[in-house]
Amino acid sequence: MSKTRSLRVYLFGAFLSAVLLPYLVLGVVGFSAVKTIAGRQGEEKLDIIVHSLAGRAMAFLEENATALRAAGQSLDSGAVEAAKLPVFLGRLLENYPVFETIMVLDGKGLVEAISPEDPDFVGIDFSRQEFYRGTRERFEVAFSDTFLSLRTGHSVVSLTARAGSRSVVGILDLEKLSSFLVGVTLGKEGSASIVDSVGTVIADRDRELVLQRSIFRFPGLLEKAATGELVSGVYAAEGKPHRATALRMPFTGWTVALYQPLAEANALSTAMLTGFIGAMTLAIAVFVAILLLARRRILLPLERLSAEAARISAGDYSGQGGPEAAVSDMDFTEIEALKRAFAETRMAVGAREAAMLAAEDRLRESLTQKDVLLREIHHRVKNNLQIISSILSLQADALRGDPAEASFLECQGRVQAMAAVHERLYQSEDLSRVSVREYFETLLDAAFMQGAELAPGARRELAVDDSTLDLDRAVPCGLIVAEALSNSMKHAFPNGREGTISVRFARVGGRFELSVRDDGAGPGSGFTERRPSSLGLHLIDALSRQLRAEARVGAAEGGGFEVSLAFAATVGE
Amino acid sequence: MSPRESPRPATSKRSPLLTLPFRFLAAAACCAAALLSPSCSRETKLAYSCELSGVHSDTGVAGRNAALLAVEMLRERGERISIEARDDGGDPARAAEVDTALAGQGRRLVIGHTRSFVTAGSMAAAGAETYLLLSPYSNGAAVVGRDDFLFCLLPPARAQAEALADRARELGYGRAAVAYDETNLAYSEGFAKDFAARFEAKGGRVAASVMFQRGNDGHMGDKVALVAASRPETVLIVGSVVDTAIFSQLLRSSGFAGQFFGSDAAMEPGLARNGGAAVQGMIFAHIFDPRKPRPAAKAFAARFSERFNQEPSLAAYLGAEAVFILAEVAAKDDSPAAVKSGLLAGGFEGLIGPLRFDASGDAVRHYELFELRGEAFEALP
Repeated sequence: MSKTRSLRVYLFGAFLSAVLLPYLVLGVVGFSAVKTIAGRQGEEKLDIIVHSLAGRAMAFLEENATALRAAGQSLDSGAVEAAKLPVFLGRLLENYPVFETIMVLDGKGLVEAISPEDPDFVGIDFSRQEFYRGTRERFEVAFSDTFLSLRTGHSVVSLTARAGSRSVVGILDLEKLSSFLVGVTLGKEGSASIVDSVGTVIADRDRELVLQRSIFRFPGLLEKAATGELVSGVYAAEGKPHRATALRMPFTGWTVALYQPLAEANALSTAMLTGFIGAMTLAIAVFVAILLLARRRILLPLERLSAEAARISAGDYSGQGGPEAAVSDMDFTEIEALKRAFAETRMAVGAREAAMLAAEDRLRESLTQKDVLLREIHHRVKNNLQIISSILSLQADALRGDPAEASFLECQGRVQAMAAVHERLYQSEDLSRVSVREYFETLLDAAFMQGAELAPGARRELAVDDSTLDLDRAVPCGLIVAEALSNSMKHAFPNGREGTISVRFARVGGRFELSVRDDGAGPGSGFTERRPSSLGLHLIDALSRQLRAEARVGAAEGGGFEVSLAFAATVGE
Repeated sequence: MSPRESPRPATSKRSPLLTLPFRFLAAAACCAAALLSPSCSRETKLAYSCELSGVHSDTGVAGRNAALLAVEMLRERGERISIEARDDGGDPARAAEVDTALAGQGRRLVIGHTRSFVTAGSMAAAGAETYLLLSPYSNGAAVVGRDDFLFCLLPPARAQAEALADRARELGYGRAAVAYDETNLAYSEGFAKDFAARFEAKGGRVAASVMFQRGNDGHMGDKVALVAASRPETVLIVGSVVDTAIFSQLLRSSGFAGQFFGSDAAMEPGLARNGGAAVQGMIFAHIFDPRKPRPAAKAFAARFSERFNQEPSLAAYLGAEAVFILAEVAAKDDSPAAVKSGLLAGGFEGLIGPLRFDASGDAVRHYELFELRGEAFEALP
């Protein structure tokens, strides 16, 4: 049995395997690759920027620390007279304007000189200030934590260089740090910050954040960066996820951090994903269009052809609504050729069937005529046999009392039995076969009517199945039954004896079994089956041979007389 | 959050499995309450408006950081609360503008301001239809003693001044001088006058009373000279941390060897660093001893240190306390009128100590005396 596949499934499968799946796989792989590359490049970019900013901040501190160290060395060498100290500090401040204040503390931590000059501070004890006791040393200079400038309100850090027993302290304004961040571009919303050791923003592109010493937005990032390693990850601020990178600067405790809203950081991959989804949508739309086109130009015509085939099977050759009705200039050539071939086939088959129907009509008419003729023949045969029967009856009447009368009457009965066959045949639908039951009933009726006087106590019993017999076997079979019935009526129930005459006929396997039996007086002692004494029994014997059967005639088991035979149900067996 | 409770929940020793059904029931009850009561799902909107930039911003910044942390802690406990911090620039007019703008955004409970004269500028605009002001720091004569929509966490400065004056007299000082900050007269002038009045009422004499201003064109040197010339046995300095430190040092360098008294505005760690030896032994009055914190304050301090890598200042404690108290009172209704009623009606445990407000909205708390020793303020008997 051959397997069939739906064209729709085939088309869908073809698109899926040839277009959609490769596209999908390539798209996903491409998207992942671009996302990975973009992410890596983004991270590398952030790493570079972070390291660069940290480097610049360190350079900034180092540069100013170097200046202070040099100043300290000058003081220590005695190159600066005490009276000229304010001028010295003033010039230093001019050269390094990022210092908000520069002062010299004596060995006890008291302010010896300060620039810009402020008489309120001269002599002030700053020995408890962290910048005097500073523990973080780098570049031979001690650094403090950030603190609020009392002069500008800016975040500042102090740098302290030793000058013998004295110290040169510079209060470094961290406003400058923010200028390092101005050039850092991280999309529209991304930004960079430098955060001090307690999480206060000391540099940012947003000046307000610095002036207000705001808390850094991503405390978790600072916590992670405390290890000193470069860290990056996604952190939320005001409910918005950001990609953030941070690096803790050495010894200062400051952290350089870059952050950008995740949506903006992933803009490239998002755009690619959008493009990919758009392309997929387009591909699916094209596929749907192709499917619709295929449906209209291939599937629907094929469905119409299929429907037309069904109509042709049902005998409709009108062609209305057929495939050619949908023919258009846009049809595929092959489909159009198929439609035309189908239409031509329809017309050819239609014409052929019309011719066959006409021939059949003619044959049917001829058959009817023959049927009528045959029926008429059977009717006439039956009528003729009736006439013969009547003649024999009249002849018998003429011989009333004569021994020959009985012979005439027997002969009449035999002719009637033959006539009954023809009567049954012309009255039946099938002119070639006769119903055994109906035929035998007729024979019984006739036998009991004729023998009513001879055996008034006889009863009849008919047990016949639905078998039918052709004419060639119905006549001998009927004659055998008629002879047997006549015999029983005459001899079985003398003197008003009561009894039953049974006629049985049935198909048993491939043979018909017939028996006519009575429970009457039975054959006399001189009855010999091999030498039949009467014409009737001779006839039974002859007719049995005609049926290629051997009749058993004689005493019935249990008393009475029986004629029985069996013959092939099918002619030739 | 109620200050009666620890700001950080105490560690439970019960098994989480055992408490799970209770937590589930509590969550279900909260959800049901949220459905039944619109106020349960409402967010309490606070504002913090203080001096966040400039040379006087230390207090405001410390308070802001603490307030933000307090809100963070409340949110961690599931409370729907938010806060927005704004810089009032230390300017009374700008403070009123900022507070009005915040109220316009639905933030009608404002924590502010740092200095009394700024608070005075904003409190005129406060009201039932605008906003309620809770100041963690202002307690000058210009802002206390009025039935308005301003509440102060610190008791009036007058009580502080009088406590210091009483102490000065107890120590036997009969001749005093007073120096106070010209830039914040709303606080300092009343403080100085109250001290002087009490000191003289107790039999002492105030030989000099001077205003000082530092920065711009102002120098302290001549003011210090005036004070020194009055030959005081004790001097009260009412000013910021740095001003108090510098004034003290200048006065010491001019030969003054007597006792210093200071105001709570200077009671910050920076005083010891900036004041050197001159400020050692200075006496203050304050309501909170950070060396003996209550459990709630201790827990907050731990959280603050963990977050900011430093100990909270007094300003930080007060900033957080303001948040906790407002969150408690405004949980059901955050309208200024309702919160005012709530503040006046109840007594609060407070983060740093018990608190209730008098009819004027001023804190009723007890001042204790402290002395600066090293870098710590140690309570005096």
